[in-house]
Amino acid sequence: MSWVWIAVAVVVVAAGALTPLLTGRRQRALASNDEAVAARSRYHQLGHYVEDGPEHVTDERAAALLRTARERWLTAGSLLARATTEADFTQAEAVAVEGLGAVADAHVQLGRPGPRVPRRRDPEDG
Amino acid sequence: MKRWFGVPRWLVGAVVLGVAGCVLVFGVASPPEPVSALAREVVDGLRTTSVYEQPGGPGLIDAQRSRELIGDRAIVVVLLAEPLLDDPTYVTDPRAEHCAEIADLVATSVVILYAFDDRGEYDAEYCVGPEFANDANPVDPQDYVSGVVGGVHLGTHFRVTETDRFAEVEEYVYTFDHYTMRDSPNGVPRRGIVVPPPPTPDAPQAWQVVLALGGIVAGTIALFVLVRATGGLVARRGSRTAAAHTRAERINARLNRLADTVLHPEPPNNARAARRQADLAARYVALLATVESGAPAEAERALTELEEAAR
Repeated sequence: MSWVWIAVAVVVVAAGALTPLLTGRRQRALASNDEAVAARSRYHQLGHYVEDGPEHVTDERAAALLRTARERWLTAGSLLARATTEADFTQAEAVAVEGLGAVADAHVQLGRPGPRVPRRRDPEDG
Repeated sequence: MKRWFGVPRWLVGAVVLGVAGCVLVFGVASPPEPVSALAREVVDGLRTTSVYEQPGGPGLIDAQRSRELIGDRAIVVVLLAEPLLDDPTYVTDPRAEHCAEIADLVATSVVILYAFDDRGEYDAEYCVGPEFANDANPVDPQDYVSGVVGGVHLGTHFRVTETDRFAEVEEYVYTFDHYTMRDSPNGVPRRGIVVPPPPTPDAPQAWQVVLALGGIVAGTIALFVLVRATGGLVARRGSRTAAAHTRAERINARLNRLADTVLHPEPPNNARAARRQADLAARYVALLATVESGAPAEAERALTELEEAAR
């Protein structure tokens, strides 16, 4: 019977020691949720311009910029699919914003209204 | 984190609780009186009989006849062989001290203790258990010490010899009956069950208990710190893995951007520009090999160089 009490005591002590770590991890996971929402928002915004953008662009400069935007869109999607941490989502958002910048430049080149590009966030800044 | 005196509140609370617990356990609660080894031996011997005779005794009291005479009366006789030596801590003489100690353990009986003292005299001491006089046996305990002893001395003056003092026990039993029949409405009280005393720690054992308690506390703290450190180590390892994953993803994102530049170059205006594009493509392929080799620092350095060259 005493072994049962010893086992219970060990479990209680271990739970007390691990609880702050587990709750800290949960808090970190919840904190990254905002980053995930922002990154997915930018990704979908970029997707709108890439998939439903102008077809048969004759301007070579604008076509190159739109091609770059598509590449950034695909890259951002790839990053989002594997993102697990706040830094991953921040990186994906930065790539999507780069794509939006390329779309904006292409639309200026074509003389059409484009997206408003948010201030570029450097992933190194977190 | 809220603090008192620069210390986290929960820690202050834990220390206060611990101190209060120590005061309650060690300060307020009085520890049980330690029982001597001799008393334990005697009481153990009295569990099934009314007479305990230590081996090697002088044999002045016939133990078997005493048992038959006493029957189940609330009387126990202790016949010691070893001399009881004086001790500075004793308030009375050694025989009375040991008699009282035994009487405390056979609380509802009277005790007749025969033993040698440090002068070599073999004599009796009479004492009464603290619960001998009770509601069912409302007698005066003093009668069974001074009163009975007076009767014993008178009745045995001419009956004891240097080799046989059984008459002392015999007279005590008869006088015991006289007093109890006179004072107790329930007749002669019967001997109660003798329960061995619980083990009580002596000074070294008390220190062992303190050390054991300290060991339990230290072990608990050590276990807590160990589990916490292990958890922290695992968490840090997870953080390092996540950081490496993020770094690899960042390199891949930069590689994709560079691939777009390398794979879709502007039409070259001259041979120099064409050679430059070919050189960029070759360096990009070499960069892919560096990335695959799993050296992120070198890959990042080469990537930065190539990005600057591609501008």
